[in-house]
Amino acid sequence: MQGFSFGSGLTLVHLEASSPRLFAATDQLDCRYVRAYFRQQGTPTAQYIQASLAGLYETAEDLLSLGNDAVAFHVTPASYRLCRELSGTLGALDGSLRIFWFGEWAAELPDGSLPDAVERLVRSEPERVLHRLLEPDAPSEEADEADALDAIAGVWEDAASMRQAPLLAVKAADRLGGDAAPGGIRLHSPERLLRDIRLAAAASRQMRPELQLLGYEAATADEAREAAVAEALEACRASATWSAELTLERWRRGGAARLAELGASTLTLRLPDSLAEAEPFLADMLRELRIAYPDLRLRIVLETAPGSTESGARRVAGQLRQCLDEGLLARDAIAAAVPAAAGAQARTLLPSPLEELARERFGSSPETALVNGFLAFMTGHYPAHVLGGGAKHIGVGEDGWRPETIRRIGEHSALNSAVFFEQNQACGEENSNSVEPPIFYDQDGKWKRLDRRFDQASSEAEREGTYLSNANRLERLGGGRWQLQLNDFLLAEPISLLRQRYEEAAAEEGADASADFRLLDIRSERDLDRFLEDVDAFSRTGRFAHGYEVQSYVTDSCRWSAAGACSARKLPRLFADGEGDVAACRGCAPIGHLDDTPDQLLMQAAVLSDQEQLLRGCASCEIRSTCSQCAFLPSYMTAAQYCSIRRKHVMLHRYMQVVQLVKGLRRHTQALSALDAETLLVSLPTCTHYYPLAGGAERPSLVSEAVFLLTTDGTPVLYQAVSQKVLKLSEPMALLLEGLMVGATEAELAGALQAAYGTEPSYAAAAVSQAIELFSRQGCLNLPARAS
Amino acid sequence: MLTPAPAPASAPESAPAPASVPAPGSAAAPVAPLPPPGYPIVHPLKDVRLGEAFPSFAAGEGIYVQDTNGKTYIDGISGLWNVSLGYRHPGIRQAIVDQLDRLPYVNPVDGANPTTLAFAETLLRLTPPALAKVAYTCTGSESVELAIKLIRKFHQLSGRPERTLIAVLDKSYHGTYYGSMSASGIDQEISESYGPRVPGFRFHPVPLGDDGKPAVLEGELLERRLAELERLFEEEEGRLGGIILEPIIGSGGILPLPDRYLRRVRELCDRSGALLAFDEVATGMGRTGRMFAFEHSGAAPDILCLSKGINSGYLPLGATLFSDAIYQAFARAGSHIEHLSTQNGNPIACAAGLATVEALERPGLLAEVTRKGELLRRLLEEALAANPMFLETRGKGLMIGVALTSDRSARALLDPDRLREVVARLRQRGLLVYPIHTPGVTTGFHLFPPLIIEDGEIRKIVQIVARSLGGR
Repeated sequence: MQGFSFGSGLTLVHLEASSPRLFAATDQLDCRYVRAYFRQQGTPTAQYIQASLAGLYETAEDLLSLGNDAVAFHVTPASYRLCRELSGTLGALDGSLRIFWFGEWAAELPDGSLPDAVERLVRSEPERVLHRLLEPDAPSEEADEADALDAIAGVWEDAASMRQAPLLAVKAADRLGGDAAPGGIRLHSPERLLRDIRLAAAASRQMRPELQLLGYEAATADEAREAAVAEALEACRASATWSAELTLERWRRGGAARLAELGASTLTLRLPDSLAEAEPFLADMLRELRIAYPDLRLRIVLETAPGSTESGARRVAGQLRQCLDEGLLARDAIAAAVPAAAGAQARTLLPSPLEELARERFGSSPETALVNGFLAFMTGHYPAHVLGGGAKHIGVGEDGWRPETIRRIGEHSALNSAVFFEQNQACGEENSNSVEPPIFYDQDGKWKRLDRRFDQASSEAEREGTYLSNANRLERLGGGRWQLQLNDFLLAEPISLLRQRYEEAAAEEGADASADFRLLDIRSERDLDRFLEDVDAFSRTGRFAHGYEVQSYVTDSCRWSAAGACSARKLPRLFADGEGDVAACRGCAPIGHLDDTPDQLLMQAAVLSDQEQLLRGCASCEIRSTCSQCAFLPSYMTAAQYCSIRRKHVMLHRYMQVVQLVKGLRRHTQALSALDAETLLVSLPTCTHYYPLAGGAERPSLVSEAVFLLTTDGTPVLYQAVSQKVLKLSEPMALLLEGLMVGATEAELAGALQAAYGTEPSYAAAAVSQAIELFSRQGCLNLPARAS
Repeated sequence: MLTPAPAPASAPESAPAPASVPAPGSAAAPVAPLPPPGYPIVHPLKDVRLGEAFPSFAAGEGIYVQDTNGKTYIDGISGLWNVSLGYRHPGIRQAIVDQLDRLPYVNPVDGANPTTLAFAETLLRLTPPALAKVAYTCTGSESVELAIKLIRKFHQLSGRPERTLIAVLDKSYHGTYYGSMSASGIDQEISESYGPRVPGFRFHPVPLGDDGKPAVLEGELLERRLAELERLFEEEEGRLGGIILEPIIGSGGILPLPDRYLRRVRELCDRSGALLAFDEVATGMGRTGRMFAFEHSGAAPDILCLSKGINSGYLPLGATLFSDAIYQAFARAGSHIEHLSTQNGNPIACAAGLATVEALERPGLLAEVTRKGELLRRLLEEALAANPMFLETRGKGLMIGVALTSDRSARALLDPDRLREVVARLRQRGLLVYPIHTPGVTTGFHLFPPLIIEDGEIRKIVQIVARSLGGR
């Protein structure tokens, strides 16, 4: 019997930051070692896996529902803060639950940095110690000291048999050996390393995946061992490439070149933040490698050097500046180590010469996931797979962040949510201070600039027991200019926004609109009229009359989009005012209060939505398949007006789709990255460019809504949104597709071909049949019976 | 210039766009991206694009299953209502191993096997004497498929070829093979696009309250529903070959048919010469606290369709039992039954069936099913009494429906998205349930826990449901 039941065994938790401050519960190598060991001992374990994390309470409930007696968090610098919050919440929910922390970084944490709920920080041999904690009477085994890690068997084999998600890391050694192991280091034998690399590469289902080679330096401390590991790496270089970290000393002794020779694809140098005069010149070392291995990626992790001096730091800064100037390092390739010893307040500050360089040259481009979140918050467009599990974004006005609301905001947000503060920068006097705020690096893995307002919001949240995942600010600079500050991140360039009323954008066509993002608000009937004029012009001509239509984002454009675009009933956004009243959509009437539970708000949103749609008769409306059926309308528009607009402007949803599509194609395809919106022709049932559109009775389109026909630089291009294929078409094919778009019969299509190209009737008929068959095969048509 | 006729086929140049290109949303055209080619199967009754999102189960014991990450769940729906004695049942396991060692397969057309024969005799022993023969199938869908054939062929052989019409209830579910799908009232809209369906079914309204929602059927309300039933037989007199019913509507939302209703059907069938078939694929083999659900009413069928719990779901097996009258009709004509799947009556599956019956016949087990079902319903009703989403529980034995509402006073149905979230949250919290979504009638979820469930485990289910539905 396997003895399944709730209430026995160990739950393992690893929270992986896919992007700073955006987490998923995933598998992890150290956790696999623990699971493998427990399996050897016959004790059950469960790994908590969750791609879309809900709120703190919900996640804690999920963890409890796994039913084990104990939970072990694998704590990393990035997950430290979240692990602390989750441990506290778990402890509060179930005082009998045993909570442990472990991990190579966490092993160095000072005792006082553990939350009360954590029973013990496991600093060495987590597999055995955790097992002994759970099963004190189990016989204890002593591992062979030489290759202590080899005793843990089945790490890769069990994962493969269970088809678990691949891990792109293998362990050569770790520092979890405790006092018994020399230097605390536990090793794998070179043979086991070779086997693990092969198994990891096979499990990845990739051709030569890049594997993180953990503990390489520790595993190759002596020459004989280094030679043996090199032999192992050489033996499997056809299976994988690797990334590894080296100290300056090993790098200098040729370790980097040796690893590059053995097939490394990324090498990270742990560089002290202060160098003595006699140190080799960094740029020379990197240049040498770069010339020999042009594809090798080089990274730097700055470490606080004991006895760091200003002159030594200046030397490092000078060398890094040269590396950046020569392009040997990318500006986001420089990070800093976050010592666990600093605990909760771990902020790595740089010596002033390096700080000066950081201010000038470090920083990164904005995190794509966070920026996409911002755009979703502004437009209301959320992909279906992210919905549910708490509000993703909560908008808070200047007066909405008060102790009584902060706690409730925490109840409604998910662990990866963001609070957006809309602020007038005039209030932020401290930022206009001439003293530059310090630059630092911390557990989030980002360069940051000390930001008093962010820190204040964070400490207020902490005081109220709210986990503030992301706190972004929209700062008004004046004249329609805004700036988006993502947390306290130091970005290479600030994210600039131009936010205008639609009417203004239309009036200022051609004016300087340089900004990272341009947002257009529809806040009045006049804005709406100008917007609908643009839609109508598009419907008539199949062209965008103004550049801003494609360059900008219309706020709350979900309202004007196709069926399914409105996700308000699932409350991905909440807008809280100073009284704690919450709205489901920007500028709309409140649906409840922050004091309501998330379930009550969801229920209320669904009920209001259903009532509104029932009153309007959405279920039987003739445009129900193309209308988003927005149930939360702003004050400048009644439901009757909304319905009338949607019925009158039949191409409105298509307009929104094409705007979104053009942006996507420009961003994500090579072939269409230079797509020019001004010369772009869009084929529509109301406007064709190849097929002669005659007046008369409107017929339903035979072309799927997922198909778009665009003409760019004179070339017709078909985009199939389901298969995400881009197909170049000949002109006759474009003519036929347009004909099908307007519901033409096969005879009419053949006639149009004859008229346009002088084709013989039989030839034309054959071409029509073939085209229909081809379009059907590509999933472009709505008419399965028609092709026969 | 138009290129020659082959041009259209060769003109397009395909350039797959990267997966990250956003797909504009539209209900008319589902635009979620296609799955990566890595996921090898499509899941029945689910959007074919869904794949990796489903948990992968690797082990099970008793009422628990465990996924590949080691997470343990209470299987609140016994697999798909079939694993009625739980996982790793020692008796069933041993019977399978023993038969596997003896003989794994016998050609059912030309051969028999002691185990196969013994299990058929056992099934006949458990059922009323009117049921005389067993035809093996592999699934519940197939059992119903065979029932449809038997009804029509019986009347053919009896000189009443015009009696091809079969009545079914409009919220019934009988399977997904062509005949059983065509007979499933609840799936009429879905199955339309797979047409033409098998013709010859009349969909009679399932007995509900006057508002079209589940109600306690008694008194004058019941009389009216019985009268509607009588009208059906009157209207179709001479054409009606039979009626197929689930004694408790399962997929349609756990709607028990009143005993009087079933007895009246029996009377009407006797009077008109129509055959009565009970689809007990879900309700049979102890699920409702009796071996078969029809026993509660005393109305015995002419045809009995079984599967699911027949061998605790360990191997594919079904059976269609039928009356001596039907058998005699075939016998008189020297006819055979035109129905075969290669694995019908597989001896290993039948061995599992024998072990299952042995376990079900242990003294007190079925009485315990009734008691545990009542306990589960009572505890759920107590725990959820103040929850605005909770409406009621329905069912018999351990076949339970928990009805949820968005507005208790109006008995409004729960929004499908919200229902999906509830079911997903229960799963996340370690309880597997199956959603009930019968448009216009009822929403909620099914609970079909293994019959071996213990009181403590029942309390655990109630705790999970209450905490998951209660929010914070």
